[in-house]
Amino acid sequence: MNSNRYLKKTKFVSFDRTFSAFANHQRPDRLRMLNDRNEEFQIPRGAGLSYAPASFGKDKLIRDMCSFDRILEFDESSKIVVVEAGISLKKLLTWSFSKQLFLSVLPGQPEITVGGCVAANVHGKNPYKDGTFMEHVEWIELSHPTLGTKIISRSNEKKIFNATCGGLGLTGIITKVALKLQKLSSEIVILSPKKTESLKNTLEIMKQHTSDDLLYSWNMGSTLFNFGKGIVTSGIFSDDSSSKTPQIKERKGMNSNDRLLPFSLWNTLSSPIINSINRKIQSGKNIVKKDVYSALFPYVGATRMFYGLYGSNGFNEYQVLIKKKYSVEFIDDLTKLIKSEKPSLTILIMKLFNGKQKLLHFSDEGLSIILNLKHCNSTLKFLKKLDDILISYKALPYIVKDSRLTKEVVEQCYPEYHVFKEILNEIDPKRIFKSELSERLNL
Amino acid sequence: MTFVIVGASAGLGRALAEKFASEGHDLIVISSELKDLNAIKGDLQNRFNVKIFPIEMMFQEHTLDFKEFDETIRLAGKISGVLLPIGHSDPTDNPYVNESKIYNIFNVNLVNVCIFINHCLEILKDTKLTITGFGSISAIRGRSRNSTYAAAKRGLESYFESLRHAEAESEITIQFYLLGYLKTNLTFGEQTVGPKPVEVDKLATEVFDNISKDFGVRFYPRVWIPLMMAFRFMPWGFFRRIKF
Repeated sequence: MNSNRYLKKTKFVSFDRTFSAFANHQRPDRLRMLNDRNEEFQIPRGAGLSYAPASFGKDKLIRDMCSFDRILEFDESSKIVVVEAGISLKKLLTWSFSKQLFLSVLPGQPEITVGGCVAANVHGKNPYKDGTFMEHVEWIELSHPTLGTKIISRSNEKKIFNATCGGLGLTGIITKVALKLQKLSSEIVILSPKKTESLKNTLEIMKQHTSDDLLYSWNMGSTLFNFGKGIVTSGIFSDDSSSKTPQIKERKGMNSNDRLLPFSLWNTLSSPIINSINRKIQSGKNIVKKDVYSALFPYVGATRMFYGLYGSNGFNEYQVLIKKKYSVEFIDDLTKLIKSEKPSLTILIMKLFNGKQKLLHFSDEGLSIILNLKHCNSTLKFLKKLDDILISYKALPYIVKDSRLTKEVVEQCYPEYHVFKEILNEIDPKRIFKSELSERLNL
Repeated sequence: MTFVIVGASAGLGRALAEKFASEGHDLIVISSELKDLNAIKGDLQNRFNVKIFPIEMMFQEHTLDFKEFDETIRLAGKISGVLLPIGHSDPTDNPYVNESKIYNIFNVNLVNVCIFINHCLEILKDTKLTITGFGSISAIRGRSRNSTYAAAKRGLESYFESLRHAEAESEITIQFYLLGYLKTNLTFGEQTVGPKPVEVDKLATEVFDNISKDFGVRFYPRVWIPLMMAFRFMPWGFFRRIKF
């Protein structure tokens, strides 16, 4: 067989648009193709929506898993569904909604694949209540040239299972995932937006709603005016239990290959104006009834506009998870830094977490804050200073969201960084699974 | 109603399987890749609540084993159509290609397709049936690349013409699609000339919508018609200089 057949040289761009590289793109459509070329440095790729370049790297073999998107088995009594890793959440939900079932841990975009959700161990709209994605995974089929194809779970190959969840695709190719679904109690979610006056005030309000089905906030980031003011959204499934199948809405999501303006429309003036108007509109409603799909993916229609406004230079997203006992102190330090540096910060998003930290899992008991910034030199300087604060608090940076994170920061913030590395070396001494992200972090 | 799809594990075959299952039809799906067929079976049964019968058959070999197929036909109920989106090409295919490759390409694209159809006609006698074949624009005029493949596909087109003529008075409908480039792994990373490759899902819908129509031969997409005519009748002096 011709060695370059079914391959093309593709320019991959990270979702935050701050990194790009050419790599050998393969789109296997038969299962046997996953066993071809298994001596090459490679990385599996799902929807390619991670902010940082986790699913590609210069001259690597990129195995695009989009053809493996099938629902293989379903057991009605246990509500366990076995799917191929390339299935998107949207396709899975289209099917599961018809059975009045859903997944409670859903990241921001419905095009994200299940394999991607496992590899990044994503979280949903209330990680305090639902935990992270791996808590809903029963088992995984992993294919690796050294290990062969094996089923890994909490009871079988626990170490590899834990390293694969949140393992950034570095333990091998996730081919199948068994997921435990939840009963969908209603097709309607009742959302209550609440106005908040500061970051600390936001935290206080959120603490009162930890048992709600959805809980997150957004706060204004510009220091020009209204800094820290925002909206906390909490939501619960309606009591009105109908057997109507919820609708999946067709909305085009953001793609890193979309053509954008060569400059950012988000700046220190536009950001507080737009966000203040948005806050006024949202806070005008006491209760909002939304269909479940729109409630679970609240920003799907807006992401195209929101990220698109950053222009072709892209943006930086910084997500940190700070231990509960340091939350208030950290907010003070963060506020101080923002006010002194005045970065081009558009918004901050807050979520509460409740979990146990292991390996590279973005999980702990505490507060998560996301910062969305225009990509520019002043942002990079600001984030460098924020890294130092992060290290001093032993807080966790979310690895798949930050394209400029260094090995030194990750090593100091994740206590089991070296344990994770040892597991990788044990599984595969040749370390054939590599991406730009893994090389940057020396994993 | 049940349809037979040969070459269903990937590309157009898989898209046809999805389309016909989504419309509520049971399927017998055939390919040399049983693992992929089982994945398709699970998916289509779960999503569309239809019956899927996967059968592994090796079309590249010299003889076809019909035992499992015949048993499945008995279980599957009334067969309404046989679709053959099967194909195999080789990047090293040219007029000097070795014997084993010639046999492989001819077996998959022509010889075993004819044998399979003849077998179906025999066991499905007196059944109202559509048989759908798929050719390629590469068969319009032979060139140095894909020469064996093009020859096999041109042979297949001729076979379907004969079949249509032979079954003109029967209840069997014979259709043949002459395909331009499709978005499958065969064109992934390839430099194609002319109109861009089209989505297989669109073609699958077109095939489904026209499954009972007696149109004979049809180009898909139709934009290829004038281009192919120009190509077919291009003077040799020009044609010999074209390298693709």
